[in-house]
Amino acid sequence: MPLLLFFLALLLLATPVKAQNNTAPAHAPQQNWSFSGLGGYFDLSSVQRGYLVYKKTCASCHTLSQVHFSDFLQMGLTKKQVSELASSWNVVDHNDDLGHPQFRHASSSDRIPSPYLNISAAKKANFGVIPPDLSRMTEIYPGGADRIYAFLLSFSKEGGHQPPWYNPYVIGHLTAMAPPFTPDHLRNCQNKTSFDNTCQQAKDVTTFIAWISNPAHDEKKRFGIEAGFYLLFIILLAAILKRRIWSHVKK
Amino acid sequence: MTSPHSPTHYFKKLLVQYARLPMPKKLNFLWTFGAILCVIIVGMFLSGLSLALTYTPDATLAFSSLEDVERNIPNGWLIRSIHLTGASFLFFFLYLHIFRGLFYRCYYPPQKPLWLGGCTLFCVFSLIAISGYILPFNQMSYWASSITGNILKTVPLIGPYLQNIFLGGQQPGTPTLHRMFVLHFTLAFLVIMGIILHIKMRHQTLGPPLKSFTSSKDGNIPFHPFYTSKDFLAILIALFLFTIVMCFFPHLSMERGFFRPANPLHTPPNIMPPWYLLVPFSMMQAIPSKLGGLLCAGGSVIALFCVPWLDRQSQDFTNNKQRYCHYFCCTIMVISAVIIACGGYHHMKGSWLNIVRLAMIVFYSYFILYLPLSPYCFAGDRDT
Repeated sequence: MPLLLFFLALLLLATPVKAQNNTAPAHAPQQNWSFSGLGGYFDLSSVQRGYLVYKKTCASCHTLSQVHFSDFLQMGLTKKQVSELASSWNVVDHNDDLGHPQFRHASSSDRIPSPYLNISAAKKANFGVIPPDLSRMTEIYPGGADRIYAFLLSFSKEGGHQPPWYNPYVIGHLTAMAPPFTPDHLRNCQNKTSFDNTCQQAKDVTTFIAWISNPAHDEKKRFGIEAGFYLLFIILLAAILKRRIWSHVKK
Repeated sequence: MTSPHSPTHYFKKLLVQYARLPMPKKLNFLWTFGAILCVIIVGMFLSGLSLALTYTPDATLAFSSLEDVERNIPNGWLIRSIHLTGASFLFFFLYLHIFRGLFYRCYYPPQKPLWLGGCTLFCVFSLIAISGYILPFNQMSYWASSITGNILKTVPLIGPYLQNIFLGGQQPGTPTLHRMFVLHFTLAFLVIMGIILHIKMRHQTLGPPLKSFTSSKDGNIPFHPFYTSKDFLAILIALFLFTIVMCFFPHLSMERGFFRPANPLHTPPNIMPPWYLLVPFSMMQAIPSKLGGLLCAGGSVIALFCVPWLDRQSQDFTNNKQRYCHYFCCTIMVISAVIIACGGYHHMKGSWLNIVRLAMIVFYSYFILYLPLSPYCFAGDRDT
């Protein structure tokens, strides 16, 4: 009887589950990232270029709340370079006697400052929507780096010059985010001939966001490879030892 | 020379006693999960202690304190990954360990207290897992604690009181984190004590150690070096798998909601417990009545506790037919539990609801029908 029920359950399992939505985000084409795959690691020069694009374009709306300037040391910069980089940002030092915020240059132990003083200011500046935090962007959203790259390059003028803008890679195909690159037309970065400067910028900034989202990504993979091979070697020795010891036991 | 009453002497004696423990010859790799679990639990304990040095049980700071562990503390990512992946591995091997117990029926009289103690340890582990899942205070934690509060509310009479004790308020927040942190931390020490007792009981229930531990007598072999070498190999293989999953497939033990800070205003579309608690979660979803679902989910744990009394078969199978029938039914029970978990993973969409209900009948019929009634089916065969 349990056998019969089991096969019945297997039959029911085989029936397909259909759940398709017209406004579901489009599937982003797969890109050739330096960090994808088991042996992939981040191309740090691309990450550094991506930081510049982030500072020029993204940082005016998006926060990077979990990141400190000192984390940029892992981008291949020296301590001096990081503190110079940090001093180009302003952070709130204290509020004066009237409650107005007073700013100072950031140091490498500061967090990346938010472009807004509070959440309601963020909402007001962005048509009632808070721009998502970029600290864990590729980990949170399904599709990861491929989807972000496709999203950045797929704004079209369908909705005119007013928000919400049309973009096939978001839920509902409409986004409050303004096109990040000018001119804001749909780009084709798939073939090499049309791969222009904007495509490169999008690629770099996506690499930067993926790098920020995966702290210790390269160390993790290096640790995995080293510890994995080491353990494999010890397993081999332990297996030989076990065989030799058990050879004394009569079956 | 150490005196016969010094601790060193005592531990030496204990070590020799354990090394000479007589063991049966034919124990396969299913019997190594206990050793693997010990190693994982030690790893979890040490990494947990290190995390507790940085973790802040406060609703506004908990999430970023753990982000800091990964980003700012040297090798913090390793400590946190060990703890996160370790939780999944612990339950994976714990389930296999329980399955081994059911499969080879390790709950007969000298071992009955051992089985009951093991079931209690499993319950404590589940409590630790639930409280640990809430600690990072990400989206998954927030909504998991909210749902756990609602589940507790369905308990008749004392439900709202229990919910209040659990959450420390109307909704999850700093008070919840404080009590979950204390629970997680204290239970970790308790569980270590429990495991030491579990191992001690295991070795006492085997009977007095053999005077001579040569392999010729009674077909027994000493624990060391035979089973130490086997356990060592199994532990290394488990560590290898652990490393591979931790470094290359971290998403197997993490969900996207883990990376979002808790947000009471945004309900994620698919709230889910960690995979190791999917079976009771799925049972609660499959039963239309809330209290019925709770009873059904609790019943699966109670059934485990009751197995020594439910199983009416003689300790040693009289014939092979009976033995293979037991192995077969036990496997079917495990497959049905996996199907129930899959249903919970897919949120009972489409035909999953009926499949899960069917699997639940199969699952419970193993405990309620097969175990008590099977001796009567084989009654005629016993004399042959």
